[in-house]
Amino acid sequence: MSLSNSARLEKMITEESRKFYFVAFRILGDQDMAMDAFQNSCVNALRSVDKFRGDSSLSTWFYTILINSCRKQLSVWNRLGRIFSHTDLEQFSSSEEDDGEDAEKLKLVMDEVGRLSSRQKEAMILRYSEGLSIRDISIVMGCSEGTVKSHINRGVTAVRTRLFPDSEESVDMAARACDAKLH
Amino acid sequence: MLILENEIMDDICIKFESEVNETGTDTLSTELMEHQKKCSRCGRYFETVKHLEEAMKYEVPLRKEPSEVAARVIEMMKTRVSINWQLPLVSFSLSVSILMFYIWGVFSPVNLVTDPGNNNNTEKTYLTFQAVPVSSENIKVPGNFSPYKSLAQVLKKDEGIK
Ligand SMILES: [Zn+2]
Repeated sequence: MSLSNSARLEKMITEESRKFYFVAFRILGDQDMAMDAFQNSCVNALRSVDKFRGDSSLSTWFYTILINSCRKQLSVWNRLGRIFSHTDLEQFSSSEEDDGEDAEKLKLVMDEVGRLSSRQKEAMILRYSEGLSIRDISIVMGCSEGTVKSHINRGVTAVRTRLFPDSEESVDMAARACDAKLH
Repeated sequence: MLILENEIMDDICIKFESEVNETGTDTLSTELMEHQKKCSRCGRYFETVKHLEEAMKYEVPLRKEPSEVAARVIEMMKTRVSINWQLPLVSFSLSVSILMFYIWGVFSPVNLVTDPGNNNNTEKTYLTFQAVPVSSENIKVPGNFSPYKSLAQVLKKDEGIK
């Protein structure tokens, strides 16, 4: 016997709670904000599960609700005029015991991801952490597939420039940015 | 020739970036994997995405367990749903009770009679018991009428009892 959408949703948010929670955490960079976003998403999803028509998978549908909750959290945060601190992310970075080159690069990457626009961050988290397809990301983020690709490409390029500041592309980009400032 | 070579390279580089963006680093074709080893630009792109994939998988020690939060929300929503179901039922029952009291008040033999009293300042309320109405204005009920007697007659007829 197949489960109802409501039962499937309950099972999914309980069994995969960590996965969803960490998506919120990676976007928001704060455990309390992430937990609020996750909790609100659970409430909203359970309340509106009757409206789920199966156009996408249940998890894609839940990601949409989760991303909207994160956006709301960020807008409240910004309205309050507080500086987005990434306290928990910094704590994580400094707790890394391995001081090798890779760990150093990882810190650089995380720092750069923290500087990206929230849309670029959303697209990259859904792609590289959750493995969602470009199509599903476009559904979750409510934009075209082209926009998703552009967000990801710009995000990766920004991180690459930070990791390889002396590479030809980075120098090229810096020159173009300089030109744009002069004109 | 050189231009043509550059163009080919660029096409592969574009294809490489697009593939990496869409599928990540684990499922790249052999052709593209070989390309990123030779092309420094794509090599750097590949390494960046590798680092990104790793960075995106980090987890911090949790302060609260998300599954407990989810379970609490589910429980809370179930309670709310049952209240939502009960509320109309309770209000319906209440409405029916009020209506029944009203009907009983109108048709019952018990009447409340308010007496303004002798000096208009005091009011007295009495409960009066009406007699069971045996006739109304247009219907005449025979003096020896008994509902039980009529019923007995009907039963006798049906069963053929004489
Ligand atoms: Zn290339």
